[in-house]
Amino acid sequence: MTADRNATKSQPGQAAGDTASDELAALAARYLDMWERHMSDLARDGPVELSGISTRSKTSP
Amino acid sequence: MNAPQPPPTPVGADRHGLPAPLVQHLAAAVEVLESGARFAPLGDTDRFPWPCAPTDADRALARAVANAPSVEMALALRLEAAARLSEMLDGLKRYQTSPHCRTLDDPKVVWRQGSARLLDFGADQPGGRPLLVAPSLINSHHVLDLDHDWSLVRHLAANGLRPFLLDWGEPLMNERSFTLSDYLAQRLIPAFDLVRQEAGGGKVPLLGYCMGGTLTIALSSLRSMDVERIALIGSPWDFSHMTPMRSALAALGVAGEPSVLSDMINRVGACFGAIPMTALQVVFAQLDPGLAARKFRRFARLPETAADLRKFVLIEDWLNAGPALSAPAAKAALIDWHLDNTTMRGTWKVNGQLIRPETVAAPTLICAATEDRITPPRATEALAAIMPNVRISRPKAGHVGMVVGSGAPKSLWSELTNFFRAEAL
Repeated sequence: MTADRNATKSQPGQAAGDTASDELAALAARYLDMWERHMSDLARDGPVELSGISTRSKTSP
Repeated sequence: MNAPQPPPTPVGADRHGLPAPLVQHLAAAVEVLESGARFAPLGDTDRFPWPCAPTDADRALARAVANAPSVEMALALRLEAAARLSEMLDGLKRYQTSPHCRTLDDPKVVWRQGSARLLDFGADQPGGRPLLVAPSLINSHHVLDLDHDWSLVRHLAANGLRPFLLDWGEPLMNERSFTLSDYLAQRLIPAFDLVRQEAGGGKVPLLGYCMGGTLTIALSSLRSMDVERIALIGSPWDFSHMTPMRSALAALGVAGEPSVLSDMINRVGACFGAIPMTALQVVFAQLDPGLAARKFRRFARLPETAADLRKFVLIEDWLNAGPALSAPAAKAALIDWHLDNTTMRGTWKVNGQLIRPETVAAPTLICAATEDRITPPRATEALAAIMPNVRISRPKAGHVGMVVGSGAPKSLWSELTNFFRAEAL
């Protein structure tokens, strides 16, 4: 892990590409922050079976 | 005349392939991020699979993502996910190549039985009050003696106590058939008797961490007249609240079928001789699939001068090491405790004797960390309704953080010192 190495590539929260605007990159970062937080909270009550999340989520009937 | 020799270059441990199970950690990290990106287009519909109840802000964010230009948004999400995975890999490489490693020497060994040893942390400080410390059977005792300036037992020794720390050891051939009753009768109780001798034959205080605390309760029940006081750190008793671990067993398809789990443990035991730490880590990794990614991304961002950097490496080394667990002990812990909840139901027997914590009158301090996911607070606090003389402490930390986290000296270590030095509650 070196600062020099990181200086040559994008960092989380700074993803940017030719076709994605800075606003979209920031939106993507906030959305993935939120998604990771939800997945962590879900894990408090038991392990997450990732492939079946749509049927195991707390908010599903 | 010999020239002065330069100090030795620090050499870290060989961490190739760590943290275990590395492939599982990497696959989980990819899937957590990819699932978020995959479901993003549904964010403005009722079909979006919210893992937990969303706030209004969460809903607004999901709607904004779903209503953004789809191709550009999908690309932005994948770029962001790739950057996060790259940062995780940076953290993993930083850990694997770290020069830091535990360099503490063990103190004087005052007793050996099989692979078990009793370490005397107060031999050079006469007058300390003897205290028996029982760590978990899973992972080593090193978490209670992590580093030169970061050790719970050395802190207790510097504050008027004489901790005797039990190292359960890597099971030898004849110990691979040990049940929990054997560990109690042939290891913990003889160690307790030796510490009693050191205490002049009087009552002895006990400290137990995780399942070491659960075993300590059994010892206290069997020898209630000889126990002066007890402190339990993250020690489960009501296993109906051990939801993450019970669910991990359910994910393996064995929660409702003790015979299937028993057969699985027998087969792993037959293959490896005992249940290796790597097998247990597979179960632990299921508790929070995104944890490794979050943890190693944070580690990648730590400045080289951060005080926590060395501690992170030492804790991670501790998590990745640890002795195997005998198959009978694994079955007792996973089936009798986790599935049958024999402790809380009052049916746990050690060598034919019922374990009855309600008969233990010794002052008892229960340390139940508010963020403990391994032993949720309710699993350990249940003892307060059973034992007659209990006080509960709730450090704001997790299962490991309460013992070695940055706030440990001021919270848990200080509280334990005061508890064991006091004459009464």
